[in-house]
Amino acid sequence: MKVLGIDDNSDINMLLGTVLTASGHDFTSVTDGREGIKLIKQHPYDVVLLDLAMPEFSGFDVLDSLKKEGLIEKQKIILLTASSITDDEISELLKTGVRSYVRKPLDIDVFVEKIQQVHSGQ
Amino acid sequence: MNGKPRSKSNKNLDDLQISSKSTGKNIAHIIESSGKAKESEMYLQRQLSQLQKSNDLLAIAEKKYRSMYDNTPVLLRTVTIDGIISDCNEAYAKALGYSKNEIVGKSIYEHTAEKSMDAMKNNFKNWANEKEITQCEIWLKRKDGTVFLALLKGASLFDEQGNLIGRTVALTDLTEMQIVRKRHEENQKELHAQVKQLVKSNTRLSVAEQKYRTLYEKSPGLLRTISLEGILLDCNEAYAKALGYTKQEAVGVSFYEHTAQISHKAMHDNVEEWKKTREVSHLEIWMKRKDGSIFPVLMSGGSLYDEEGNLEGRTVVLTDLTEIYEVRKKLEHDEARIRSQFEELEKSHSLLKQMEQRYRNLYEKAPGLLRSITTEGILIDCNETYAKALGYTKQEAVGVSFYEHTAERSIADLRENLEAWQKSQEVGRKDIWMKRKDGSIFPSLLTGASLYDDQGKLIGRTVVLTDLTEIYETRNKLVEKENMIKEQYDELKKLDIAKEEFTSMISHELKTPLTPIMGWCQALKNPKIMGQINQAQSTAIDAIQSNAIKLKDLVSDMLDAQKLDMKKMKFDYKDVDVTEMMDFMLKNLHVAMEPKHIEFVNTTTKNLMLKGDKSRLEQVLNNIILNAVDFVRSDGGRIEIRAESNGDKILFMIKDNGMGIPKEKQHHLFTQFYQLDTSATRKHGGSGLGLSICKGIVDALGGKIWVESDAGKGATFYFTIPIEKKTEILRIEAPNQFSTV
Repeated sequence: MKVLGIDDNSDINMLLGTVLTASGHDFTSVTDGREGIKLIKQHPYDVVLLDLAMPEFSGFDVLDSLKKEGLIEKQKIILLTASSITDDEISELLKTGVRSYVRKPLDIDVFVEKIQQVHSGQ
Repeated sequence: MNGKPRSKSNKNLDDLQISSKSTGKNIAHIIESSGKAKESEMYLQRQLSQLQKSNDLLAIAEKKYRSMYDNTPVLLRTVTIDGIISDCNEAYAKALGYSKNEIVGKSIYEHTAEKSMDAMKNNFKNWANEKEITQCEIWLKRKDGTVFLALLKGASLFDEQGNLIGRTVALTDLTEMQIVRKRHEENQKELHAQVKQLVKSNTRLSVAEQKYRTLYEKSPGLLRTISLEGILLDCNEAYAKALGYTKQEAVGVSFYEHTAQISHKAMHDNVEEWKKTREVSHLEIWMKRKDGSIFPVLMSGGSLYDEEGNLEGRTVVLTDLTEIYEVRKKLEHDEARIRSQFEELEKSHSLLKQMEQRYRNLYEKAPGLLRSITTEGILIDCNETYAKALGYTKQEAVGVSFYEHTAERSIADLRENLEAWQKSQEVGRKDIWMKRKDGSIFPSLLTGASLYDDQGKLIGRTVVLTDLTEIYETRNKLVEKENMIKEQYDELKKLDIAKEEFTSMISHELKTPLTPIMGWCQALKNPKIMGQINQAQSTAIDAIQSNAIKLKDLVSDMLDAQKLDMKKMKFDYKDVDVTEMMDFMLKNLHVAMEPKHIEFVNTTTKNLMLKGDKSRLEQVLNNIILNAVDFVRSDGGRIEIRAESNGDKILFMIKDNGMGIPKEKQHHLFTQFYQLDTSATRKHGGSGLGLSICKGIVDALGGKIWVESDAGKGATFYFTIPIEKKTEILRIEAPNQFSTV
């Protein structure tokens, strides 16, 4: 499957890429939210991994834009969240169309499993 | 006066006459015997010596009589039968203004006044015939021609043969007698005139008596006349009528009959005094009527005398004072009333004066600035303090508008205050800036009270002006300080926010690298991802991974502690099955007990539920349990966890049999960064925030946390959590938290 990673930390992007390509997936990553939106508009991905805490154009901004474009329902999104975000806040975000979330620092096994679940529409 | 010496000199004259007679007889006898008996010379001799003796005797007698003749004050002259003066005494000569020599040998007629010449001649002729001198009054003429009346008396002189040879007369000056006689005549005349006058006056008196009688009778005053004994001799009709008597009944009785008992003594005294002084003094007495009733009168009057001037009685007027008494009584009553009113007034006046003095003192001596103004704001009074504070004398300060004493900036305020007061009559409190004589100003607080007149009309007000200079200074200082504090506070707040942001940033930044570290470690250990690694490489990766986890926990603790400090920790309140949660804790932490072979038991009762944040409760339990693991010894260590219902709370207990905590250190346990000892820190590790985070979470959930322990005997941690949510959810307030990254 085709996966897009949006995270300002390229080390994390690299880790995710390594893990996912090892599992036989196609992984693209960007460090800027706006670029991510461009790519999504160009060709839809099977799953988008979105970091919320980014400078200048945050994950929230990305979600807002996608919502305006009407893409948030079509695009399957998994949030990569910091520990400071509570369960309630996450459940609010889940209501907007976001499919799932993974807390950082992430457990690779849990992460891979979650992607499989989202992709298969569970 | 003249009678006696005159009769004495007559007697002397008589003696003289007798003795000269006998002297004559003796001389004749001697001549006869010398002529007849010449024979006896012896006899003669004897006779001669006798004669001689008798001659001597005669000479002595003659001398005696001569002296008497000459020195008697009576005028004596001796006249011959022819009327020639043969002798006179000094008195005679002196009385007629001659010397004795001029008189002797002159005729008596030369010494006789013309008007007595006939009488003198008759007397002399008569004497010559009768040989007896007729006593008569004769006018004598002095040398200077003036005349005077004298009484002539005398005795005849005879010779030895008894022939008349002359006479000696005494002339008594009758000038004085004549004066007396004249006076007597005049008296007589006067008496006649008096008698005439008396007759006239008698007539007039009888007319007057008639008149007075009428007056007496018809007088409206009560008149009565009493005798010395107090018996009524008379009274008028008015008197009798006033006392209810007929005049016949009234007269003849004692006046005491008509006097009220209460006035008897006064009457008695009055009468006694009258008898002494003869003056009837005024007296108020009470009269008694026939029917016994009494009435007051004023008595006045005059005394009556008989013809010899003896007090006979008195007539008095009695003026009925009944009406006057009534009026007087009323007057006295009124006067008493007025007096008592006056006294009361005086009392209240003096009281008022005292009060006024007291208030004046208060006003003057008050430390506050006092002034009194009219409704128009004109100063009618102020105290010394006020005048002094404004730099005026009191005289200067009074009489001007209070705006004169007000700073420009407060004039509008004061006008507003005055107008509000005129309407409401209530003096509103106001900060007013006052102006001194020198133009300088100072702040004051105006408070006061209204003044009213007797009718309750507003006439002014008295206000206290409290000098606020010091208060203003203090206030300014306070404001300055407040501003400073606010600035500092703002700065601190900024700093705090900065610190918060910094901590938040640091924590986040610290956490971010952990994701790739931990992720790569995991990836490296997964042969499917990175290929097979050897044992040494695996051990190294484990070390990296476990330290990364420690670092992650540390950062989590720091973030929690910070959130609790800021009261920004969020709690997700949900139904928590406590029994199940405790079972989970036992299962989950069993692994941690294995290295030390600790006996780990859970004695929680069944069916415990509460409303709370499950993950935070687990965090607390986790913290305390792992703490206990650190402090119990290997082999033989025991940790018991338990939860039980406790009223409206659930009581949690974590009991160990470790080294325990000394009493004096127990209260520090829940403070941030506190470690029992630094060596222990190294031994047991940890951020030092664990228990303080536990306390923060328990407090925030509305519970309590404490420890019970004795050194060496293990420790038991307790905390309670209310079954129902009691505290509000603390909202997170850090919108910039992410954008700052």
